[in-house]
Amino acid sequence: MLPLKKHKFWANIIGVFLIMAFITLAVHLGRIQLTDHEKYVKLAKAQQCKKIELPARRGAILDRNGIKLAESLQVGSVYVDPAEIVDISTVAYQLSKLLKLNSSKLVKQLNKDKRFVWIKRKVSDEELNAVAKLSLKGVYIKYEYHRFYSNQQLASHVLGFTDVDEKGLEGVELSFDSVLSGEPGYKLINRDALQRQIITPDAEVQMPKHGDNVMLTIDANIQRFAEEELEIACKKWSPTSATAVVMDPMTGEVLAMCNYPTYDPNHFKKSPSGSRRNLAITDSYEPGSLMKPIVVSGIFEQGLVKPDDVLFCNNGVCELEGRILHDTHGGFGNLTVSEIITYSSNIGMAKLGMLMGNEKMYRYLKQFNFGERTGIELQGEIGGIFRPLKQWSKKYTLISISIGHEIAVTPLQFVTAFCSIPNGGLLLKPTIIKLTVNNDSKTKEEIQKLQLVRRVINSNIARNIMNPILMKVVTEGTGKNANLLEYDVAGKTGTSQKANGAGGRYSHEKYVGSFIAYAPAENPRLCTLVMINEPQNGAYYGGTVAAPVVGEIIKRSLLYLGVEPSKFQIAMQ
Amino acid sequence: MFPIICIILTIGILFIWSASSEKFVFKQLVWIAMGLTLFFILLYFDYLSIAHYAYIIYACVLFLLILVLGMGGTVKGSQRWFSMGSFSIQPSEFMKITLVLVLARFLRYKKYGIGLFDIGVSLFLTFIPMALIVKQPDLGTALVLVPILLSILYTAGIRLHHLFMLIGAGLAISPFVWMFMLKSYQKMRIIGFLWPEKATDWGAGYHRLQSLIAVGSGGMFGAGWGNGTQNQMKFLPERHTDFIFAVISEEWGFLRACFVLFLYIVFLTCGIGIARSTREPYGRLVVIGLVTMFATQIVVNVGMTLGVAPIVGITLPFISYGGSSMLTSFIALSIMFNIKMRSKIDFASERH
Repeated sequence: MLPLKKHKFWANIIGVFLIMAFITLAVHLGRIQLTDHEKYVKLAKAQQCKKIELPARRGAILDRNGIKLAESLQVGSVYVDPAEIVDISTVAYQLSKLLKLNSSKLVKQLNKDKRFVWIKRKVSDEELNAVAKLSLKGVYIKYEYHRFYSNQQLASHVLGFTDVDEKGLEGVELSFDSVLSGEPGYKLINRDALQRQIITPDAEVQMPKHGDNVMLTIDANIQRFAEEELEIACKKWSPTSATAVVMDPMTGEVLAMCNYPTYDPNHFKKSPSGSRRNLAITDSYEPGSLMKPIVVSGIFEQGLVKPDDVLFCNNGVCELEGRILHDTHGGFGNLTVSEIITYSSNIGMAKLGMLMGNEKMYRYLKQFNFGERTGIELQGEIGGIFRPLKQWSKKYTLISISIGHEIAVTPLQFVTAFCSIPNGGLLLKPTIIKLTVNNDSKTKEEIQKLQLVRRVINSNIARNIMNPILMKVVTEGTGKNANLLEYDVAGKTGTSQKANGAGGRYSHEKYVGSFIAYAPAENPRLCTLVMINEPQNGAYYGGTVAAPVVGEIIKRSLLYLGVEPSKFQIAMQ
Repeated sequence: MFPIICIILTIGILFIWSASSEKFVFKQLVWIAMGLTLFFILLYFDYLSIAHYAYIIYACVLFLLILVLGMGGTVKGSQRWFSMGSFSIQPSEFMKITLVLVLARFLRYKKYGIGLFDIGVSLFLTFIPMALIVKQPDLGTALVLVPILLSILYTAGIRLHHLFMLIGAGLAISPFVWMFMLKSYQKMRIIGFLWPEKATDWGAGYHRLQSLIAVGSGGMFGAGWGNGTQNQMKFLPERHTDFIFAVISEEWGFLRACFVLFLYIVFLTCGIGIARSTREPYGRLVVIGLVTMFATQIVVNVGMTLGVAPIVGITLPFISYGGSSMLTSFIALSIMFNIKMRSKIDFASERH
């Protein structure tokens, strides 16, 4: 046994040892509680709080009168928490029967080691009710927004579509995605270790900011007329594609824009990707004779000829600058400048164009922004082809361009340029969006008011000289098929041979038949272009395949708009 | 010393209340009442008469340990309990005191130092109950026996090189213990302690992490009593028993958690004070053994709460909920008081 004194010393050592151990613990405690405090608070929050997203409702797309073309509605989706399911095989059997799913695949999903598994997204109301009625443990319904296009294919190329998460993929859905989509909100929910929700009064909630509505300049009715008429023509002529654009020439607002083939944005995956192209802006064509009124306006503007000046048109066949030109609508001898347009004489136009010369022609056409995008609020627009002066061949390009070749335009681009005639000489920026409406505050924001690019034609020439000439095209010339009993129509036909891929030679089988017209001629409300690409079944002239379509669209639209028939008396007889 | 124990008991009641329900508070009060009764009853007997019966008590508790392996109730995978109505007791808890008593008895008059034979017998006396407790399995309680053995041997006058040899030998056989005696969940916990990043979320690392989050979120001043989210939202496991110090840290914060540690160190220092002033060798060894028992439990319990000790299921004396733990603590406390009282009397009579 140790002496007492020595023992006291050993006891002290044990005491010191203990105090050191406790100081170590206190230092550790301080490190955890003070130094790493923030880190652990964050960890605690992470496991105690769950952020529940409150989805934002995507804004609707409306036509100019407020008709909903695309809107988001809540639909239910079915999901399971596999951990809560007791009898997997029974649940799988019942769900597979109700939702028409493969039951063995379902069993696999129910066996997953997760707390959240989608079973079927966006199910119908009947299926949802049936699932809800079963009230199976661990089977839940979550409501999500889904995009609906209630008019199926109507204006599908303009609207575009969204993916399953409502992200815009095409059309206005894509170009105005940020406006339409809004911002989702969230709710922070406390939950305990058993995942039970704990109701706390001060739970942090951020309400979702719903997306804005977008109002288009499209008129759903005119759009429907255009689509119906285009479809009738396409059934008749079986073209590879076709496009119709209706514009208000006074404002540059697109009232209708449709293409064939078309698709249903509700089920966009079912249709081939080619049918989803908005050909009115993504594809360019040689305008052919459609170009003639624009060129002639320039020649009048230069004061080089008067409408009644007479040119010899070589009876339909003529060699110019080493190439042979044909008049396709009959051989003409002497024609006035007006008649050259009326009967669409290529030879006459070539001779007129040559009066202008390369540089003046280039500068004049450049004003119309050919070869550049119009800047319409849609994705995927191209600018067409209008080659710079340097690349023009010395003489022949001038002749080609005068009759609408060696230049390529998109249908929208051409309507925009052509509208300068009915509106008195102004090139306007085309627009398809009227305004956006904030869904929370109901405040409206005009996206774009009338935007003048520049004056391109003298108003006197456009209204007083070109207008009668273009009316004559419809009453007497190549555009007779667009003549209406009710309204005065002014327009121009176009028939262009398509270039064969190789060598730039023009095909004798592939044509683009087109027609552009505005009405009423004295007080234009609409300008309509129809292009029928590669029509078959024995016809290809624009006056045959496209003019009747334009006529019908104009007639139905003007009647719908309540424009009093100017030739009502005559029509009654 | 007694007022300090009263404060600690009050804190214990407060946090059992916060971490569980009134039902447990009531039960704990009953245990405290029983413990106090036992405390005063034992005070009546001279501790030296306990020394008389040390071997018999040892044999009895050993018998209970064997019995509990055979017929005890199983709670959470361990056979530790005898049920008595709605209360249950763990013989392994009592083994800790019993070992102190028997080792002190064996070593008290080894005036001329402790030989290898004495060390051998001490080891034998320790390892038999230890093996039985590990078998239950209750690793924590078994581990507490080791420091008790070492501190008593040390106080009894073991030669230093023998002590180091003993520790060396212990380390040498630990791989065999690892391979043959530990259950896989115990191995997991030790791995989880040594390499926390290897343990999975729901494995051994989970308890440690949740405890650390609780302690860490407490900060300087704590969330306030009854406001600890880790505690109230039940993320923290074993809230009112093994991890009650995490609850205290979370809800009371650093300063008051340190205060609790301070109370304990004062209590232990008082214990060492008793050992210093006791000339009678048996009493001295017993007090050192009991102080070591308390200290080990406190340090390991707080250590595992702070993630610096393996999670082995040791209670915090006078605070954690649990009958056997409370009774054991009171018995140990009573013996310490007993020795304090009687050593003073001895002192007084010697002076005459």
